[in-house]
Amino acid sequence: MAEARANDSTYFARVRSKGAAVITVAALGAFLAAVLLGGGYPGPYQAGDPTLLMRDVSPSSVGDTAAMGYAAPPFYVAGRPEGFAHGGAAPAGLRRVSQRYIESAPDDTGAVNAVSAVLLDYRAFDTLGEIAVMFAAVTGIVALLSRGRLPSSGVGLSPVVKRGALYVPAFMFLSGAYIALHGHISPGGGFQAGVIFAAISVVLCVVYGTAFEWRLLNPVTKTALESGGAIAFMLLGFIGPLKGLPYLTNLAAGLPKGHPGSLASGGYIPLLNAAIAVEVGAGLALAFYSMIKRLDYPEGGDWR
Amino acid sequence: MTVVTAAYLAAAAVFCVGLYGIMTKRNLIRITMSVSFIESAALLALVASGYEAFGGRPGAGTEMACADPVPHALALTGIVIGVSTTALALSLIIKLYKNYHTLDVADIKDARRRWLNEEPEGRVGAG
Repeated sequence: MAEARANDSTYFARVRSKGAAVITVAALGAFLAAVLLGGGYPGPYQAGDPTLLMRDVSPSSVGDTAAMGYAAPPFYVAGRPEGFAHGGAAPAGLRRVSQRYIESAPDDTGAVNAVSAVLLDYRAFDTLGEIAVMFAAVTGIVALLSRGRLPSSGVGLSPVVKRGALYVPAFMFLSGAYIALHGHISPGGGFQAGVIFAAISVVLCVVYGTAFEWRLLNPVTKTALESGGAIAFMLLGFIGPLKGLPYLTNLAAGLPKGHPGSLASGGYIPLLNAAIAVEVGAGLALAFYSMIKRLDYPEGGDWR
Repeated sequence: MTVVTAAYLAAAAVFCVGLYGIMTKRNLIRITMSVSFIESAALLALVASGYEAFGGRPGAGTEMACADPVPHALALTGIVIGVSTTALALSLIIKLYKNYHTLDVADIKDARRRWLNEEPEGRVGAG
């Protein structure tokens, strides 16, 4: 039996022993390293090659495509000009979309942090899908673990720790708010701030017990915050359609640009960052709470 | 060896560690950790692909060279998706543990066969 189970120990691939696993893994790893070091792109550049990682999309500032001297949408290969073939030169006339992002993000979006500009202006629709994935995952977790007993799973740590940790959540909130609202100026943004906000809930659960946390921020409140953040993101996107422009249009829809580099700049990017921070923070806190609450079932109850 | 080469080799190594874990471990939580390793390898390769020598962080409007912002934004997306899937997998593992009182994949399979009132079939490739 033990021998049979040892042979059944593999889950995704039926290899006989650890030796076979090691050989397989080593072969795959060598292949992966070769692919990565070869630029991730096996042949010379051809227009429309499906192995290209992504294609440029037209910038969100509608109508300035021609004005920027930006004719046919170029292709982009893993961010490296040397990523074209094995030492082959990039085709003439090709301009890297990243270069344009770096050079003209302050003019296009008002955000100095180019990552935020890409994430929340040029490709804001992707971010909408991203928070939809987060929302769906949290919904699934809560639905899976929904039958536990709610309020009293832990009583917290000792009074010394409770007293000592009294001021920690306030500073965590301050740090999270700073990171969220400065996302368009410095590294950071809504997702990172949301994780810090969720950590506040974790600290409260661990130090003061889940009963306290349940009274302070009960799951209904968290659900409302999570849904509210996602809905705020979607409603902010409707500024564009109201002006007859595409969904999630930023500066072209008349939002104030501000002075790039200052706190009040970037159109709706700080607002989107705040909405994402609330959504992610509440969602992750909800997921954490659903996981640590005691899954007691009433006597004689079924296990499903 | 440039920094990018070293990062790619490290990504391949981390990928191998994760793949080895998936292929050999039987504990569900270790399998989930291995999947996270593979995800980390992909993110490392992605971020390294945007590296510029002597470049700063991807800010805009400066004269100095700076890293490519697009792989960074993609990595951010990947991190969020990875957190979501890992959290969902862990909650499924909690439910499995409540049902089967074990985290061992083979034990769960055996219990499931018994539950289905089937004779344990001869294992393919056992020997």
